[in-house]
Amino acid sequence: MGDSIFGILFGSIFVSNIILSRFLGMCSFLGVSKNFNNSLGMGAAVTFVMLLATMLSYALYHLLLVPFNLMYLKTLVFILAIATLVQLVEMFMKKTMPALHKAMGIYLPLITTNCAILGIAIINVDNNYNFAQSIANSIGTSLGYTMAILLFSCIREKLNEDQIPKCMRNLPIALITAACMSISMMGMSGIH
Amino acid sequence: MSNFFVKLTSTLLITCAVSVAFVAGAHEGTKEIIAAKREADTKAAYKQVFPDLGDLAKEKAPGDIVTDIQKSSKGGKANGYIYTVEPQGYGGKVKIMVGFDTAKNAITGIKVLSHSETPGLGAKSTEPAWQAQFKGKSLKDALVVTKQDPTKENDVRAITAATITSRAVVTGINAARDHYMKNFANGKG
Amino acid sequence: MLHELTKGIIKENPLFVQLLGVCPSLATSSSLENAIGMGCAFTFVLIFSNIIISMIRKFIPDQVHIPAYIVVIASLVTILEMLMNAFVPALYAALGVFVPLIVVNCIVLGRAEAFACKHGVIASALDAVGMGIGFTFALSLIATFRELLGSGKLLGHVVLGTAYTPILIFILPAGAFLTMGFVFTLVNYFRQRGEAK
Repeated sequence: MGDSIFGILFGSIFVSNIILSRFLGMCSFLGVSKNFNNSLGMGAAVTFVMLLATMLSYALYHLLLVPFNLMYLKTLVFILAIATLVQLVEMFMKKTMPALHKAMGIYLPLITTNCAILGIAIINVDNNYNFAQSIANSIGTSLGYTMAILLFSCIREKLNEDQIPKCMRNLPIALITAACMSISMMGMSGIH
Repeated sequence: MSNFFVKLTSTLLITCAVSVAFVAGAHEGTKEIIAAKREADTKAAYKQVFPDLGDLAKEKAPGDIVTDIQKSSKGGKANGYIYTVEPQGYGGKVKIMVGFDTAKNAITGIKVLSHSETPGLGAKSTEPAWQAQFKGKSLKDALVVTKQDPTKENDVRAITAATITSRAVVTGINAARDHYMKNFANGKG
Repeated sequence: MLHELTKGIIKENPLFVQLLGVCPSLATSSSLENAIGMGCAFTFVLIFSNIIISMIRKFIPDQVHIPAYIVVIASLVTILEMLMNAFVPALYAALGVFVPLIVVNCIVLGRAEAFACKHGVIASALDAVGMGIGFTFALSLIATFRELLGSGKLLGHVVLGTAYTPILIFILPAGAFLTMGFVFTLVNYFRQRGEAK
């Protein structure tokens, strides 16, 4: 089941959750998760860009880098492609969907340096995934990201009302909360 | 205005070109070292699981769990086979190399090449102490994982709290054993 | 001049004070060996990126400076990947995807933006060395706790003796969050005490 589409989808949402067990995209995770609505926006933006970036990097890798035997340039090509993609998406959105741009726009520039996007592009290539598997992996990963950041923001909103020792406020308590969530995710491993 | 854009584009292009030139240079400089190192590593692993290594020749592997088969021969006669198997473990695929001796129909050694098992539990499968119990096991019967002390010849002691990993390793070795018994054992090769 | 070197180690420590580079410090701190390896790889990229960016800062028009910097950093990371694959393949395999991900490490681009594009070559190099040492120090501190508690070893040698039962959770992902949470608590505690005085 490991390489089947369902296996990859399930694995990337729960078992190897991008945040809680692979530690990618932590900066945005800790930065934006202070409130629920921001987390929703960030989750949607990551899902959208990750899907596009996966398709683009897959095409670039298999149509451009492999035929010319330039696989070693993948990091360079992928980061440039992602940076350009994010710029284009932002411009396109501003013109055609101003409402969506207003909701998602401020998160887009943050995504270029979100290591989750580049990470998934590289992981797809390293695991020799085909097109369908890459898409399944990116959808699963972004759903896993959105799930983790939404759950986390709910807990953090409540935490703000609690009496926490001064030196543990904000980041330390957020990390300890993430540890508890990560423990619960461990129960999922070994299922596939 | 257009002049300005030419300047922007050309700066970016020059930056890209110079960077790519450096990367390509580094690639040319290191690729032979990387290839040589990889070959030496594989050779060392072969030697470890099958100490009596002769000339190697690749055999066709069925592909599902068994991903690579190497035939070792000395003086034109096959004296052993080295299998690379990739069964599904707890956290992902476990890549194992196992050597078979054709004269005795027995395991000469195993080595876990790569895995993504839990550190401290399943990852203990890489420890030589655990791998040593496979050495010398007969291929007459398929191996069985046991959580108690092994009593029978084909029993394999499981790693404490990592039965899934232990089973995965044994599944891989049994797949190699099946293929070997069917195709190469008793002078068929 | 010496100030550029020392500020990154404690006062402006990239991880503890600036809270940058959280992803790699969680992922590569499960053993002290990996942490030191990651710290060195990171310092290598940072030193060269700061030097190169400080050298070319006057030729790059302001509008395209970010893409140009990213190209420089990505090339350095690719070169680093090849060197590691050639000379320390075991470490390269252990760090996995986190080597190419140095490209999007906020510290590298952050130092380029905040320091190297405004200062001379020598000052930028010193800044990079300081930041690199600071990051490696922070990473090693977390890794020391995790490896010691999680496996009873340090750099692969048994330290706590055979009677000690390792608390496995510390080398699992959850332990990374937990350790980092408590280390940050300590850092905050001492900083707040220092401010109160």
